Amino acid sequence: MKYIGKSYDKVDAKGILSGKPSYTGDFVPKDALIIKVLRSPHGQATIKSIDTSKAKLIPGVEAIFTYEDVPTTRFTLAGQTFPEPSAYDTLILEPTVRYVGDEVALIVAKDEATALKAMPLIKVEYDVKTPVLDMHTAIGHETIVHPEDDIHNNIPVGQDYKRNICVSYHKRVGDVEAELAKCDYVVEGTYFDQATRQSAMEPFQSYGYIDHLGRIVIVSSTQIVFHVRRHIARALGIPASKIRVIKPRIGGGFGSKQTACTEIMTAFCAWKLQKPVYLLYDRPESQTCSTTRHAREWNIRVGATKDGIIQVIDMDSITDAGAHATHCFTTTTAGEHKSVPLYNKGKAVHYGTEGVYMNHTPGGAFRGYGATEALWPLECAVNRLADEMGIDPAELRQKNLIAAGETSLVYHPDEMMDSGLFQETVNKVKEMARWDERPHSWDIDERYRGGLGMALALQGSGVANIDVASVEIRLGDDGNYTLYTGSSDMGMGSNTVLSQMACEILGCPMEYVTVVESDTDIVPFDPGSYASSTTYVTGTATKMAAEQLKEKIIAKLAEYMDVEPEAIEFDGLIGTTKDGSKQMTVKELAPKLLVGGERAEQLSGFATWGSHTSPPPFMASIAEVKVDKQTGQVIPLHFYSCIDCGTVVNPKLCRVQAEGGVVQGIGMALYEDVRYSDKGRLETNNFMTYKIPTRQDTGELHTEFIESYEPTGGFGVKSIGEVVINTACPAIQHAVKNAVGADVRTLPMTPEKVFMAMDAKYKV
Amino acid sequence: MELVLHINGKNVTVNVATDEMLLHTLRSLGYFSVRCGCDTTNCGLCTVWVDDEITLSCAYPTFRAPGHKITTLEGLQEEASLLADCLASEGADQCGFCTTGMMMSAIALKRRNPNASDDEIREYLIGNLCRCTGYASQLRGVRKFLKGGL
Amino acid sequence: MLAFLKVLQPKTVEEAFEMATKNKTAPMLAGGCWLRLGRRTWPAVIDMAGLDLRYVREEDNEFVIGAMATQGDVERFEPLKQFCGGVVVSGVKEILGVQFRNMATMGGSVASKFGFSDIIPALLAVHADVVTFKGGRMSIQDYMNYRERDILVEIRIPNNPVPVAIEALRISRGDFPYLTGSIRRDGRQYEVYIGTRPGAPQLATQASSVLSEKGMDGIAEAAQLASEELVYQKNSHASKEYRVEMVKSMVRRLVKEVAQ
Repeated sequence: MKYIGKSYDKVDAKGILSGKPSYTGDFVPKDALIIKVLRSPHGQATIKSIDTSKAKLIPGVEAIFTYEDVPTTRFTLAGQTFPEPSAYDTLILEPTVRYVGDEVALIVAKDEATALKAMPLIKVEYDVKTPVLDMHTAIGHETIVHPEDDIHNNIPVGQDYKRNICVSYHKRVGDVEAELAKCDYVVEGTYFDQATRQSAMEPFQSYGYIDHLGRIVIVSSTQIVFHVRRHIARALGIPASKIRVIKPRIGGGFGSKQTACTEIMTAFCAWKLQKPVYLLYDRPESQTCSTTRHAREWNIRVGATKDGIIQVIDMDSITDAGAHATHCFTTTTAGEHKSVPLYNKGKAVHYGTEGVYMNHTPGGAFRGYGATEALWPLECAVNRLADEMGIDPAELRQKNLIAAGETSLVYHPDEMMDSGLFQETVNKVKEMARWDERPHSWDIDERYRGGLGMALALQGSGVANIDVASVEIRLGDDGNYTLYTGSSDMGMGSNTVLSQMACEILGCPMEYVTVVESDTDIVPFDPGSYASSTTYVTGTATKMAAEQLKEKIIAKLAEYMDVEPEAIEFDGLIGTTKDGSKQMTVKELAPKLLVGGERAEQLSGFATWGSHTSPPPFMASIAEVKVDKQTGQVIPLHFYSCIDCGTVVNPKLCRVQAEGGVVQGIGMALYEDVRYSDKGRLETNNFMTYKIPTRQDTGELHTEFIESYEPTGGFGVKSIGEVVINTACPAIQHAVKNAVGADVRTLPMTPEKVFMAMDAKYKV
Repeated sequence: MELVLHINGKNVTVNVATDEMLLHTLRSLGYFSVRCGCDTTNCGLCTVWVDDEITLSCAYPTFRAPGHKITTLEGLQEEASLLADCLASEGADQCGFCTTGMMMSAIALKRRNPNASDDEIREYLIGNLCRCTGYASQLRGVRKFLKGGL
Repeated sequence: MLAFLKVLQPKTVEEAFEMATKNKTAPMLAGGCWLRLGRRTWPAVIDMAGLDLRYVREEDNEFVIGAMATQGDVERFEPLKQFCGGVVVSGVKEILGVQFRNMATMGGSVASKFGFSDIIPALLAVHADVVTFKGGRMSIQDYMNYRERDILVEIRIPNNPVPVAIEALRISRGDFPYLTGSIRRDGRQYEVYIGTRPGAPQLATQASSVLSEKGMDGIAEAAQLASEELVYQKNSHASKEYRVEMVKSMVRRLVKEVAQ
């Protein structure tokens, strides 16, 4: 292949790296009014009274909106295709507040200073309830987080709102107890993965204005323009045709911008006031008032027979859904499908969760989306199982690994693992880390010990039977191409990858293709960039659109050259008859198509594609750490990963995706922590308290790829974006355990936890 | 208060609130390479040069700026372009939101210590957080830049 | 955010002192790094930038660090890199990033007397003095208990190279420490300081005297004493129990470092 598999620079690199205006905040109209949000100081409370009269007297205050001013149709902020499986449990503002930081009133003023001056003058009287802050006591708590009766669910998800249950999901295949009884080895334990914060560097923001047609235009840092448009339409009770959503460049998303935390407020204020407005979250708001990865506590049992076959996987959990059930059901089910199938030789599976409403920041989408959470206990348990059985954890895994052409107990009847070089990928990472050639636990010096640890991971590529992308590629009047997509390049380079795919078919050089993305007025529907979907789903649609366009171009060339289409060889720039007698360039053809006459016809390729399956990329990792015996501090030395993401379209960008995901995983493994006070106030709401890895915290990252060929989509691709965050926590856990015997089961693995759990023989 | 600032070799008269920080002044003047990521001096996105020293403009009161030489990436386009090529060649730009601040540090490093070791590069750039890249590609790109480019 | 309505810009230390006396609540604005963390709007701040206190120099067998010298200025001052194994430089060089250290001032770092300070343990160990406008020259240890509203002018460190060592334990590189410590050995006399307990650094008197008396032979006893004679508490970064454990091994490491 000519374009696929080459490390092109990102198509927008030059502009971005020159500092040119590119992001939402760079384009805000000068006359935009500023929205500031008055937020709840309480975890759970009902507003008894709210008096904005004094605040409204401040000169420059344009409006103050409270729950009395907003529509009363509940919606979800989750960016999911309709009908969303997340509960419609949200209003723009309402008399019940559900976490410290929940919205109470919107202040719209001529500038920020004025809005901040008005804020303390709003008098609110609260009826404060005991907040629900412990997932163990959430069910049946005296405080009902969502006491309202008008929550709507598009599909039932086991909800029981009066008991604070927003999701109850249990998949049972086979007889877990009976099979466990037959197992020679059973490990069980309680594992906790904390809430973590996506922490995109660009804070949440959007601005809105009314266009010349009287429609609302929202410009936002979002991964999901079409879902945002639909949510606004529902929340405001106006047709989607009255709304346009535009995404400029995004400064990182990682799932956080798959939830529309600012846009609906912005749209509401713009619509009410018919004026331009801008809502920018500061860092504490960005860290508090959006979504987190769901905190989950797992009880896991994994059983094996002495022949080394993992017979039973039993994973039960409580999920902290936070104040709204955004993404709670789907992260749960995704977690099942992206963990359990790894080991498919067994007889029984139970996988489940109770998702509970709590007075915390709502849970949401964060890279890995349930898989990161589920693989944490599973891979830890598999490592322990290998220890107990006295066999190499790689060997145990390789004995039980799924293979292409196989199915899993949790798969649907028609579902199958279509591709994947699973054994080869594990072999490769073992070779990279010299796993078979050295001890997995050793003395470095009198203070430090070293350890190696292993973990595997799956993810998906798009949402099966739901994600549908449309792509249009148009031939312009000068022979160049424009590709229209509703996917969102948030830095991962999807516009570059889509260009490569288009060029692979069309044959033209990369600079002939311009990607226009994420403007609901202009591009065809795409769910947006999440669920590791863009390369596989939108990419396949791109390939199909390009094929259609190419066919049309050849047909037109044939018409103008007066030959049969079959007689033409087309290289993307020039059509030549096979006998070499005639030639015509696209640059010559294109303008002819756009002048009068019967032959005039602007050429465009258009395709819509969705998949019946979500092919899992596969990652095998080995962490190498050193642990300070005197303090328990874990220092990552090396992180070896081999990934089978199908065909690698752009090796350089794929590698950076892997490196970025691994480092986010290292942060989650060792120190990132969304932590609340005993009153429910978020204590880690800025980068001084919520510590993401610096460039001295990562160790060396080694990444290799093994390419299987996924038959269901274009060019054999799967996905890379999310799988890469899934191995760090369990691999590092295993390495720490090997190094100093500390079997830490509560993330993050801070020095204190490691030290306290350390084998006494290593404590000096 | 009315102040005369010296930005990228030009004198600019501004009228700012007493407590305005240089970050906001620069953005209101259209220097969009300077960005706000945290506002608590932790992320490095707002890095500019004040008298050739890398400085967090989010914590630098504008009223202190007169008499000092302020430089943003817009004023270093030649070096920025070379560095951009090096970063792009490693895919190190990713979302790009933090990159311009990091570039201010990387260019400053090249002027001070063009032979910086990997560890010296990491130490000099440690105040520039990045959530996308995992930093490794940035290191590879900056290494190339210090050696003179692609 | 850092919000204020008025900025007072004294040109001399006297003037700054008068303004500080007159505006009792007005904070002094040095590097601005810490003041930003507040949420209130100050009626006025006193800008220390006009006082001409940004200098690091050697004079009369002392290092003199002006209150407005930045951590970066200290880090780059060659003679301090050599002095006492570079302990003062080590005390600043792991604080966040270069940009931060180019702004954070030594005066601000000392005057804020933060428990988690990286620098104060180093300054205690090198017997630094603090010069204030009204209170004059005093040891940094006395300054830790000095509560007068005053202007910190400079820090003076006697150029008396003796073995000293410092340590700061952190969860990750960009974080505040969860325990800090320093040690000084002057002949047979030891001084051990422990900070981030999470309270401000303090002399571990008993541990120090045991070491002075018994030298290396007192190491285990000193480690134990240091963990008992000071107050250790829990905060977001570490529990009391963990700090108590950590201080023992920290004292051992510090003693070994200066014993040779």
